Amino acid sequence: METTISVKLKIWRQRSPKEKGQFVEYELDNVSTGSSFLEMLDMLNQKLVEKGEEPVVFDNDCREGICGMCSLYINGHPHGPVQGITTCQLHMRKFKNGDVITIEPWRSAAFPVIRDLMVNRNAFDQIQQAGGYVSFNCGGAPDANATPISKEVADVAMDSATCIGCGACVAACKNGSAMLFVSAKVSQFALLPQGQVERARRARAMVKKMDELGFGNCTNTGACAAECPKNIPLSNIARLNREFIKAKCAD
Amino acid sequence: MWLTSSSVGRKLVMAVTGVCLVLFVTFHVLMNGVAIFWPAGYNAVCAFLGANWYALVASIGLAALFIIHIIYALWLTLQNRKARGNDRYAVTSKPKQVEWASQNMLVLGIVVLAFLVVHMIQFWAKMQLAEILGQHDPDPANGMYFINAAFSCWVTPVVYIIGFIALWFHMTHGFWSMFQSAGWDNDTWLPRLKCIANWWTSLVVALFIAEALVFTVNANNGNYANCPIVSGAEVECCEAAEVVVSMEGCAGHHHEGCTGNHEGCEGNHEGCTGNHEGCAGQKAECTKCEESTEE
Ligand code: HEM
Ligand code: SF4
Ligand code: FES
Repeated sequence: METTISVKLKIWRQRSPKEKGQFVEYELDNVSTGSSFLEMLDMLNQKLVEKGEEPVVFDNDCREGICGMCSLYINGHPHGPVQGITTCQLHMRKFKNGDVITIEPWRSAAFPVIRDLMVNRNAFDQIQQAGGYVSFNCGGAPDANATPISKEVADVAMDSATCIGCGACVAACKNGSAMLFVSAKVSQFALLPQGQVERARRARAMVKKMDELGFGNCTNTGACAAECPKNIPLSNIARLNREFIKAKCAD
Repeated sequence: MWLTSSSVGRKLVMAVTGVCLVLFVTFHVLMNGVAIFWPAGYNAVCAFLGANWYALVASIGLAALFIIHIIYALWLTLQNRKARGNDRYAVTSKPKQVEWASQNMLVLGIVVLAFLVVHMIQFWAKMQLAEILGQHDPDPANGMYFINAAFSCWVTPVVYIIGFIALWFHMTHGFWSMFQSAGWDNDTWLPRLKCIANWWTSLVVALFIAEALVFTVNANNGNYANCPIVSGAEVECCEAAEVVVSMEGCAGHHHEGCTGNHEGCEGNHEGCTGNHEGCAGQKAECTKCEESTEE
């Protein structure tokens, strides 16, 4: 049943990357339990703008769980307390009247805060550019069935490909490791015939870039997989380890 | 070199040293089991693994494994703290899938290391090191003697058990983590590995704790001190006789042909080769026995 609730928000406000930030508290009444978490923040911003204050800056785009832009650390969890969804898919019905909701930006050395809740995730783009693609000469589109791929392999590759590059894995990891993201990107191609040509080069280049950018060493805590909105499994990390070790041994 | 310069390579080093340490720990607990059931056999193992060239080579290899494991542990942890950045979350919570141990491997390792230092002082320094330095008193190969010395003090089992508990946490996570680090990707086997990790580690740690408790009880009851094998005392009565061990009272380490100490007779007399009829079981030639029965 749709009702309205009042919540107390503790939001990280930081004007610029260099300035010191702090938490600011806001009270928000009449929040519909049918609204999404981001709509609730829109409501807050509307109020702030009307009062002539600076609205809270946060990243978002598709609002349907496919772009990976929304990046809020809510009550101790990236993408909020519900597992397997993004922040934009979180609803206010998951909260109770009078709840205190603490909202923080992703905190990791490789993801510096730009402003308020918005962080710079350009590091992920750089890792992708280092090898997260397949190159081929374009011609006529090949027949879809020309390259047979077993259902099992196609499923695992597809599951890996669902990674939206949101960075929740890094945000959740006590080691600031990007292994889950990189492993998903490496796995999706390593499993498919189309990815074979650049297979070893990809694993080497992406891990190298990841290390260069200062992400941490994975200790297999598994917080990434637990918090990933796309449920990317931990076994991808083992696969990345194998791909990389194999590539290095072949050198 | 990718084993030092890449994160995956560094983790591989952790995994390889980790698997060797797991195997070593497993071997160690089994070897100690001998000391519970067959102290004389344990001393034989100690004599075999003294300061021979093969024992020295193995010890140096083992020390290298530990040193590499510890240096990499510190290095990785420092890098990871740096990667995490200086800003901490105000609210944190641990998803239920995350093992506590996995987030505290360094702390657990340091507790194990602290135990290890105590353990090395109590045993290694007095056994292998003493042998290298050519010390003979007490006999460096008399493992049971040092077990008795260490475990007569109540602090020892406490320190050991703390170390074992830390090892349990460290190894239950490390055991499956090392396969993951080495690149075994398998959704079927990952839960199985976690299960094997728990069983393997629990058995090892349970056996270690049982050993510490048995040693403590025996040491404090004087079972070892009275035992000629442990105390290193010359067994005069039974010089020529084979040593047959049973733990009963350890006064109780029976020597064949000698049913033990005889009343009024401190037991082991020169020239007395065993049990004799009469004399609460002692032979007439044994003057001391005769004296004692006459009294
Ligand atoms: C008998 C003692 C020990 C055993 C059997 C052992 C075993 C292991 C194993 C199997 C791993 C997993 C490796 C991996 O995830 O790939 C590991 C990781 C680790 N060990 Fe040990 N270890 C021992 C002693 C120590 C000591 C003394 C320290 C530190 C002072 C230490 C610190 C660490 C750390 C920090 C990790 C996590 C590293 C990472 O996952 O990146 N360990 N250990
Ligand atoms: S692996 Fe999951 S948490 Fe990490 S970037 Fe991809 S979708 Fe986000
Ligand atoms: S806004 Fe696109 S995934 Fe949330």
